[in-house]
Amino acid sequence: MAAPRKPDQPEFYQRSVLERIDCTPSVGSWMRTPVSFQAGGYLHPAKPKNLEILGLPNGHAWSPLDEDWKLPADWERIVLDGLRERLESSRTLRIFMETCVRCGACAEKCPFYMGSGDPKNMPVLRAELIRSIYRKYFTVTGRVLGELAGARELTPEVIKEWFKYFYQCTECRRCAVFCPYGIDTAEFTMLGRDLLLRLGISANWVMEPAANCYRTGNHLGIQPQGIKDSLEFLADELEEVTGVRVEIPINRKGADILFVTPSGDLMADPGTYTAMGYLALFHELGLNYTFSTYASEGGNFGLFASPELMKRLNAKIYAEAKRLGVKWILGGECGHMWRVVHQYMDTMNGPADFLEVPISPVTGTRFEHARGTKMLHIAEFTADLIAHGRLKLDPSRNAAVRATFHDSCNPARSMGLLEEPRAVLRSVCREFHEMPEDTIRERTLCCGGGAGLGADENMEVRLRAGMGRGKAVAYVRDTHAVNTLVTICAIDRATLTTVCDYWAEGVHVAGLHELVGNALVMKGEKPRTENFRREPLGGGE
Amino acid sequence: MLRAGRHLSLHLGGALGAVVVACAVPALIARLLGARWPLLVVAVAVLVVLAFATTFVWKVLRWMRAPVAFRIPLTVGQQKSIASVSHSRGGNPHSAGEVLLRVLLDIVLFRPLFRATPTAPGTARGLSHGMGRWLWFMAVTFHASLLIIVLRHLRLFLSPVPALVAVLERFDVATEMVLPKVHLTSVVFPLALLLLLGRRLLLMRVRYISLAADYFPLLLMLAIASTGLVMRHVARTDVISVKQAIMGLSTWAPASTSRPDIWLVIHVFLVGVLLVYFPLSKLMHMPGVLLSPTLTMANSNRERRHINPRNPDVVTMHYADYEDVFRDRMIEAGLPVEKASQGK
Repeated sequence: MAAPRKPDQPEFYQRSVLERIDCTPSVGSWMRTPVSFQAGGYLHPAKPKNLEILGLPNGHAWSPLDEDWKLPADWERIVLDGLRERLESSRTLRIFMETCVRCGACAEKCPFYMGSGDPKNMPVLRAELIRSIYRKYFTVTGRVLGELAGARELTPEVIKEWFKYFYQCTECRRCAVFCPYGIDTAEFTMLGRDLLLRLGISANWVMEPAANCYRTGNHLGIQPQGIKDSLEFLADELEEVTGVRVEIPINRKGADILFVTPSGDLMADPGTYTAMGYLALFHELGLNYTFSTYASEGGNFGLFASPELMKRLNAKIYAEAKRLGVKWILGGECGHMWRVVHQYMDTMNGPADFLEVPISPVTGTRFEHARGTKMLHIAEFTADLIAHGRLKLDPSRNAAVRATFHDSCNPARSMGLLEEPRAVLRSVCREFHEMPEDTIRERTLCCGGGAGLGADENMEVRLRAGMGRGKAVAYVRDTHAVNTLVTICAIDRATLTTVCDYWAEGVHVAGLHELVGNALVMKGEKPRTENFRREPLGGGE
Repeated sequence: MLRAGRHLSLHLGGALGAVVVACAVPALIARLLGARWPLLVVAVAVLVVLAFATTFVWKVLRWMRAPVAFRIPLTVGQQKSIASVSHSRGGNPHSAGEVLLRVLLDIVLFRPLFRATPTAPGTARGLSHGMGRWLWFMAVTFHASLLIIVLRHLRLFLSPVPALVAVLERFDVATEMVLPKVHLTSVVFPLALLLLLGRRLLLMRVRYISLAADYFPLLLMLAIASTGLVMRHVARTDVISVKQAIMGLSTWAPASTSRPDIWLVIHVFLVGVLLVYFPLSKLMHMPGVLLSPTLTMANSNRERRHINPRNPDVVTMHYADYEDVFRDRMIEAGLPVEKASQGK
């Protein structure tokens, strides 16, 4: 194969080069190490028009490669006022500012440090990038002793460094698992990005989906008729595979359940196969549900920008549930969507007192653990169906699948959704092999592309951060002939496809409900010969 | 390497200098002390404890004044959800009691550090360059021996000596045969400090992140431990008379007129420095960890709403505005709308 030579393509990078990681820190003090940007290693700046759509200030044209980033005139004041405001409104930040002992337990737990050896990718140092400014401007010792107290001046160089390193963190929280105080670097990354955004400094791969979501209801900017077309297309595909025609309710008032899933699942492989799985399942159950075009996004790129933006985008879900008069909300397979739904939604946009406690219309299970937020994860819903024996499943249809399961960072470490998807997976697929212990569940490794990092232009960053996961996948491929990486996250489905192609060739990525849909025996179906991907079923031998 | 030396010399040098000064000051003061020294010691001690307590409380109150904006527990085990899945109480607490269990595991047993196993063979080989559970071992031995030593010292302040302290004392004595008795912690505590210091200096990435604030407490505690050991095993300071002098003071009957041992003055002064420094430093991880929202909050997020008192009002895109933009296209696609089209 002729190797393309562009830094936004995986083929541009040689494995042997990426694997040669020098973890010896560069000499000198990190405070004096200048920041540099190279193609493949940074995200494109947010286009001013996207900030404009969201009504955010200081949008301007700039490039990481420029000497002058054209920061607003009073940029120091904006940053320091922002920092003060955040400190005053978050005990979490106050404690995390002052309790770190720099033991370095987090250091080599970070997929970005593991894959790059860049010392500023050690979570402790990523946090110190902000703590050093905090000490200088908010503590007496920092003001008086300066560098000796770990304090430094706020300069444009600091802003560049923040942009580089807060966009080399997927907010995956793996470091926090190993921190004796539970210091969560994601909090610093969120803070840093929030402060940068106030200067008009952000990544387009974050702000374009956010602007789209604000305007059209979803990250991809699909308009209502486009959503209908996409769903109809999936229904056509499903009919060709199963012989069953499914109805797809959209914006339907009077439905019992509002279904919200990441829009990526409606548009691009392999997410579309997962969406077909949802459609097949809901049809088979005769679920009284509806999609929404206004709230057509489960994901929330506001999470990767600022708490306010997260709240603005998330508000649509409850607003739409209220307008349509549904009883409760069911959420699809998505990682960061569930971080928002589980840990932020009720606090920001609740209380959802106009909804009812989710009750499965099939099994009658009352989901008490979701009685406040009134939103249920589809893996919980399906695992409950399976536990009650209410699904007719034929795992032999997935006989060609030898699966392993990638815990997505957010459902694993910000929710604890670990066994529900495994229970489902075991019921629909006979061959399931776990990756090594320290790469799954709460210690799961990174896809390398979450939190707005899934762009092509920072391909080197993604391949490096995905190295650990990729090698763990290659390990089960080599030891158990695993050929499918199952995951419950739309970003994973996109980014891990790249990671697997590069580090674990021959393994493809599938959603959980793709396998459910394939195994699901539907009333009135024709004999199945193909899976949702239109590949012949591998069973029968 | 010259510049690497600069980083190290600034922070290690700064810390070392501070400890040397902290040792020199009391050594000089000791020469000036007269017969009324117990009074002076107690007066300073009262000030030091007051400074420690007030700063400590002020710091914690300052933390507490800020609201916990979001409930963001870090989950390290299976959530409580459906009946068929068994819930990990210690890894994913759902109730207050389970939070307590988690705190016990994470904070008392240092579980997060215990998780640091080297990356499994064959998976990410070459990626793992951690030290496995060594840091856990150092942290546990350091904190445990520090706790025992602090409790052991209570015998110098309390009369009668509490039973617990006496039992601890017996438990801590490793070598009954040797005279004088050597405490286990007398060996383990300085050793743990040296290991922690050695790790900081020898592990290049940890040296790279280390500040004076990281070396200073280690060096200070080494100095405190050393002077303590000198008193016990070399200078053979008469602690009974020290206790009598101090206890006598509390009943306004000073028993000692002799000048105090210089090692004792340094030892006590350094402890004072540590106490004053404590609430101004990273040592506040002690109360901090007990308030850390990731470790001490129940993961009952979807069950009970967490209130953020500063939940800001934000501008959102309302459905009506959305429909206004897309109404014609929605009608054309056969999607239901709230308002009929008003035409172009």
